[in-house]
Amino acid sequence: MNIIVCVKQVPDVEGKVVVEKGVISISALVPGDVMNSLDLVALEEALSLRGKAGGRVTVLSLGKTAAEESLRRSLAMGADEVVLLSDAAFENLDSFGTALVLAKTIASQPHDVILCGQKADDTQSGMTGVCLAQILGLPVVRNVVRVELQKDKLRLNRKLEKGNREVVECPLPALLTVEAGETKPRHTTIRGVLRARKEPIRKLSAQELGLAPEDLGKTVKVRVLNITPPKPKMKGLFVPDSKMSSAAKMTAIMGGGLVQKKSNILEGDPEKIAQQVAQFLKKEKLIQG
Amino acid sequence: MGNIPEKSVWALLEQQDGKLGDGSLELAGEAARLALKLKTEAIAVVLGNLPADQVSLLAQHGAKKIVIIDHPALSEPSVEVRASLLAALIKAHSPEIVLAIDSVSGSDLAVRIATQLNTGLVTACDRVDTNPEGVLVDTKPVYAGKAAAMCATSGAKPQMATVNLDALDLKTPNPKNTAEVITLTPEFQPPSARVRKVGFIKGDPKSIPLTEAEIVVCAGMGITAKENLKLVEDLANAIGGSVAATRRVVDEGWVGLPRQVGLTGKTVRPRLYIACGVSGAIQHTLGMKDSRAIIAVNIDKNAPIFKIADVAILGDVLKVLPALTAHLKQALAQVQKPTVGNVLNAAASLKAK
Repeated sequence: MNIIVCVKQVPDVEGKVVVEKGVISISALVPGDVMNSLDLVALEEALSLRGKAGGRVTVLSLGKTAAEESLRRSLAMGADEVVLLSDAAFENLDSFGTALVLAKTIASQPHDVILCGQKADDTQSGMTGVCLAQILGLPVVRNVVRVELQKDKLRLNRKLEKGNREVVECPLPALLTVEAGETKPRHTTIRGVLRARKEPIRKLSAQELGLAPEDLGKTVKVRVLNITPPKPKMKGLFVPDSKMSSAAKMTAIMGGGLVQKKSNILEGDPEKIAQQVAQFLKKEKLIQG
Repeated sequence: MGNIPEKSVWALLEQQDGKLGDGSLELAGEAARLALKLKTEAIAVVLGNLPADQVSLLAQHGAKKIVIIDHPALSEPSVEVRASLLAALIKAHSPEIVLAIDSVSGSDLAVRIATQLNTGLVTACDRVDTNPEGVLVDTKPVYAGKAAAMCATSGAKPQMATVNLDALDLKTPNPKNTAEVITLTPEFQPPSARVRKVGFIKGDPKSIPLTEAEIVVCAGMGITAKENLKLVEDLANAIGGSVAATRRVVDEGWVGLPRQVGLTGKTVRPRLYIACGVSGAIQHTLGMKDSRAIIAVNIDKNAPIFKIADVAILGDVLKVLPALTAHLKQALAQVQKPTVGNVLNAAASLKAK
């Protein structure tokens, strides 16, 4: 079975993120970019699928030379082959452009299952996998948290809301985008790391893939206008304050309940408080039947 | 089709068993707002037949035109089929903007449509708006939510966006509003589904991973004894929540390790987090501070948990929890839709106190 995993090297979002004048700076514990967290899960699924069905795992990454880091990690985890897609023309591509480059690479080699992380930690877009499947004409299943091979098809668990799962069956070849679930990526081994250091990394440029830079430029569908600090967390929910007059409470509720909260502490009769809180939770749709 | 104007603003809505998905009314309202700015029409597009009560709810929330898509292929629950059908419909009617809800199924649908149509889509937006040139400008969280990006699609039509459920507000309904309902049966025959649904596993709040729970009810040492854990469980059961615990409660062996929240346990960000007798040590709050709403019950007025709580209840957990459970059950048993009447009732009941 030929398994292909597409990975992205991203800034370490676990670090401290500061946004100033539209520029992002990230100070992580260990400086430098890391492999996208969901791509690690995708690679794990690929490696365990190979463990059961045999075959080869090839990891592709599109990026600058620094993306070698993720590819070496993939080798250390057990990938058979890695390919770096690197070219000045590949910079500033969005999902469509990235998918086009990946598709060009994949189309020329045998592939049964293609795995991608559902979304990148940095852009949080989640489109590249589906674009790739569209170009290659493959069926795609998103939100995959469990992969099981059954003869000539895959049986997959998809993660839905509220802990629900949907079970689907999909013929091969197929593309899966992987979500965070029960699968935890394996650690690298010392032997793997030593091997990864020696292994050559195949590089492909736009020209080698037969892609013209001007064609790639045309694919950009989304532009980023500005980067700002995150939207502040919802605070200042309206809390019925027992000290308010009835009229004030009425105005507050009718006005959308936007009285600012000064962390007023509700105290007194538990029954009364409980009733107020219950009504409040229901109105804010925080509880639903 | 003459009565579906071009350059309109579409809200793609999903339904299950005749009930609109979460956020549908809100999204219809968003589409109406953008349409007003662009001086065009908002159209709520619903896949499959919709009962009259849901139609009138949509109308009350600002939908003036509701397009119901009726097609034999829709009998099969396939996102592939629905996406191709909608993509064909969008091609035929050229809307300016297409919005969807960023739920698992809504984003699945939108991403597939955008790739089929080769058009720009900004996913998981907290805000969608148009600039004076009529370009859709979306604000979305990036870098694990630690920054926000303002994005615009470039040129290709329609301009698409999926909107986070949390970011959508329910507008005040106007009971006088009515909508024109158009039922469409597209001639287009979508390609048959390659991926087939074969099963569904319902998540039980008692056993699902804590990280996927929408409501978490956490027990702290304030519950004082193992027997009192029942009060926490009762509250969780009443509202479909999952029980969690602080490290000390887990150390006592009252609750299992997979249910521990905090630095050495799970990091959760549910819609609602109820901290019962949790003091709020930093080791714990690191694992739950990003919850959308936090309610804390504690007997200590200076408990640090009150600093991050949206609702702080000062009192004995053992007394407050049973009261809360009873009133929450009661509130849930009442009519579900937040209507003007309900709000007035709530106001009246507060007044009576």
